[in-house]
Amino acid sequence: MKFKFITFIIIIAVMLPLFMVPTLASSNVVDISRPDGNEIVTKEVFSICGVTIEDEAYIEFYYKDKEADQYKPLLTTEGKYCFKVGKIFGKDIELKYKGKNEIRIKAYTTATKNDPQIENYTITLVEEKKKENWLEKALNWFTGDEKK
Amino acid sequence: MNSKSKNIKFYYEKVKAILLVCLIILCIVQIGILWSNQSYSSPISLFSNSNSKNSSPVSIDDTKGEYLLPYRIAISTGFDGEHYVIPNGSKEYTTLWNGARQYIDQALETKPQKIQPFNEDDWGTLVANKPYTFEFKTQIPIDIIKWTLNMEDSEGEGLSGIYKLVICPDDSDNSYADTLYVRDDKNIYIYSINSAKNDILSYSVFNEIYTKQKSDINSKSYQMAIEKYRKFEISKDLLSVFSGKRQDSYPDFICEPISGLDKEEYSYDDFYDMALDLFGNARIDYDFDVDVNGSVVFKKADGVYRLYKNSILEYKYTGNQTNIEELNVLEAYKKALSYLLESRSQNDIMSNITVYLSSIDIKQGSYIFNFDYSISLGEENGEVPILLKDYKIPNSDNQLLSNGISIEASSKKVISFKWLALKFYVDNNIENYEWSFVDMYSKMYDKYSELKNEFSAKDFGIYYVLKYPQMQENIITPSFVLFTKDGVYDILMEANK
Amino acid sequence: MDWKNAKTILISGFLILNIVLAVTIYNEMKMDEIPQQTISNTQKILGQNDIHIECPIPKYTGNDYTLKYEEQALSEGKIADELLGDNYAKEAGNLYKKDSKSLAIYEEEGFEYFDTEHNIKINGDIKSGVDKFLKDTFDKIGLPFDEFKQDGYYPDVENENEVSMVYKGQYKDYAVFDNYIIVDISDSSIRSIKYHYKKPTSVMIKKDIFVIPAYEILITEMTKYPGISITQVDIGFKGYTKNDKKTKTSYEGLAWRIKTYKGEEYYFNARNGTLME
Repeated sequence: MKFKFITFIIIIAVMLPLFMVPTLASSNVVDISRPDGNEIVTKEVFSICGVTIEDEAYIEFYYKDKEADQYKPLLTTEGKYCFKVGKIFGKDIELKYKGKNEIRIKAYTTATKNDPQIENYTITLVEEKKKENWLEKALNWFTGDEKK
Repeated sequence: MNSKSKNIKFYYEKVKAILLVCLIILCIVQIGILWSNQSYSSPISLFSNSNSKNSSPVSIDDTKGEYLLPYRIAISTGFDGEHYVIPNGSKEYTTLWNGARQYIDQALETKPQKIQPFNEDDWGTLVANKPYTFEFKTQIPIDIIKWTLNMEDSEGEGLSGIYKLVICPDDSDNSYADTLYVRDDKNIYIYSINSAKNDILSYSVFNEIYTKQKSDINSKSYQMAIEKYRKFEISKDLLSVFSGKRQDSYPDFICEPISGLDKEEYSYDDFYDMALDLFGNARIDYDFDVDVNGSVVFKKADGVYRLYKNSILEYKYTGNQTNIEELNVLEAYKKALSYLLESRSQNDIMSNITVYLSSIDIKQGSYIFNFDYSISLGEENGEVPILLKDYKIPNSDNQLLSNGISIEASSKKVISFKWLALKFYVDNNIENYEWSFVDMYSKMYDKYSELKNEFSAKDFGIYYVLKYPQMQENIITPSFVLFTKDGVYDILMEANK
Repeated sequence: MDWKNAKTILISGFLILNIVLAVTIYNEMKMDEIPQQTISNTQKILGQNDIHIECPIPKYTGNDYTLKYEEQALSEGKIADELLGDNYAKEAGNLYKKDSKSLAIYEEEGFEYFDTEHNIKINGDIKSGVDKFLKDTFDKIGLPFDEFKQDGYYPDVENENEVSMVYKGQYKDYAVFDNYIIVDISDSSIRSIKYHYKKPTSVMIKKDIFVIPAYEILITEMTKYPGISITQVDIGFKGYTKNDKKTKTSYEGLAWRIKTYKGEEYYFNARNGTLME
């Protein structure tokens, strides 16, 4: 009796990872290279870039609306928030807020539509640091200020 | 008495009239003789034989700079900023390259401030952040660089060659010194330049060029792979458009093989015309013929040219084989360059072409210099490069010709030469193309099953791809070409409707 | 208008013009010719460089010509039958053998015959004897002996019994150097016959290409070989035949030939003066 029970446990223990792995794997539809974790940026336009694990995927972009405190669709510069993408993709979005922006990316294939991959990122938009480099001088010169 | 003298007088006048007419005719005839003599006579001076013909009127010292041009010059405003590629041959390109040459000369006078092993990420970060990047298609050996830029022998110690370089005047990462970052195949070398007399690449120059680029182009600036696809196996300094699209206009091209090549049988006049096309006045040095494979042959004392049906011209040295000579890349390069110059001076087939050194192979006793060429679009419109695909030399070796020009030279002479001798004409038809790396890659992914492995890319470019045997006075349009570690993939771009 | 006076004036005017033109033309013609002074200068310069020349130097500076050849196969069987007799053996490639004789036929353009023994005897005067033998033999084989002319007779310096006779091709009035018959005689019998022939079919003038005069070649090129003794300078057709086996030779231009008394020949491309092998 005990022997059977132990065997049963061992079998479950072995089978479980085997079942887990595919389900875990299937939830990874895309590999996102940008954002690279939580980022601090100085420009409003941000590119979301990555590669799909399979040949294609559907992705959707959301941002957390600070007033409503819920995720709303985030339109790209092309005016859509939902796309079918090929092997590699790159889309430009505009960050809504200065400071923290909570961005969510949903990715799924036709098979995993009901169990999409969800990635959350915090992208902080800050003022461009006033580094005294010559490029700064160049841009200032262009706008009329000449800082030394 | 009167009538008789009148008669005589009349007769006399008639004779004079006839004499006058004869003299005039005689004059015309003599002028005619002199005229025809003029067009056929050729004053032969005592030493007008092959000795003077071999020395080309243009010396390699005058034109060597034209063969060491950066394949690409790019300016950047910073990481995640804007990147622009300066059209080759434009005024800005010349300004920037002249500035870079001075920087190289000054920087290499001293030893590098720091040497670090090459790292894709480090290099990509440099290229993205620093304002100026200059790239060659391959690592140019330091001896060739020193000779072309007239640098001292003692300069450039420790540097084996230059593949790409980044210039940052007033570099905040280097105590605001003017800094030069050079990469060869192993390391990144950091040089700082102490003298402050450089205005050539100063912020006002950058600014002027940046504003012009920004205003000129009505579509996106480039992005860099390190900014967007850092974690993947892609060259970090790869410039392309990843998010959004870019509009570019390209003309159609007509490429024409050497005229007369497509005939079944050649008459003497056919040979003569082909020789005139290829060799100009030097055609009299060659005897013409056809070989057993049907290729046209031009023979001279120590060499044979073969013009194959697919317009590849091949030269082989057939003189006495000397012992294997010592390897010296600069001497071999000079021989190759002199040969190329002479070849170009004999015809105008390469008149609208810029040549870039693509790779150097080492053999026993000789080097093979492979060049690729780009066709000038005129004025400030830059150039478009040509890529050869499946061009085989139709002889018993069935060698693949991968580059537009390939010259094998030892330090003493040129051993062989291969050239895809096509004439290129820019068509009046200009099309607009909207593209992005993402779109083109996806299309390629569907077409080529080999890409279905992991995503990786070494380089990409927009080329006019020449495929054999479709090439016989064809219209060529641009293609998107991807270089990966597995091979080269190309796909035609679609014009906007 | 006073026609009579006018005519007289015009006649005298045109007469003067004609005289002037005639003189100019005469001078032009004269200029194209090579002055004797140049020739004697050339001989002096050669002498200074230790080159002995005992033949006249040709003055030709006219147009270059092109000779066209036609392919014509050799009937190997007939040659073998005639030279080797019966019962010869065919070996690898194009080699035929019988006893002491061997025959190699190459590239459909020629053959080489060797005999280590004294099978073909030449009686009496060697020159006329070889002539007759060749004429008879070639007629039987079907080779055009009448397109060849005796070009040289070279006894060996060391051994009087060994002589080499050279015939060169002839087409219309032109020498065709690439067509030749070379006969080696030893002890009054034929040791070897080397034959090379392509059939010339036409000669075309090259209107805008002129040859370099012989004296130029002598001064600029032959001075590289001090100590030689030049016995003949002439012009004929020669092509680049040695540098590439796979090409045919269909067209040839003119070349200057400079022969020494030992039979050595130097060929120079008549258009650009380069040495031809």
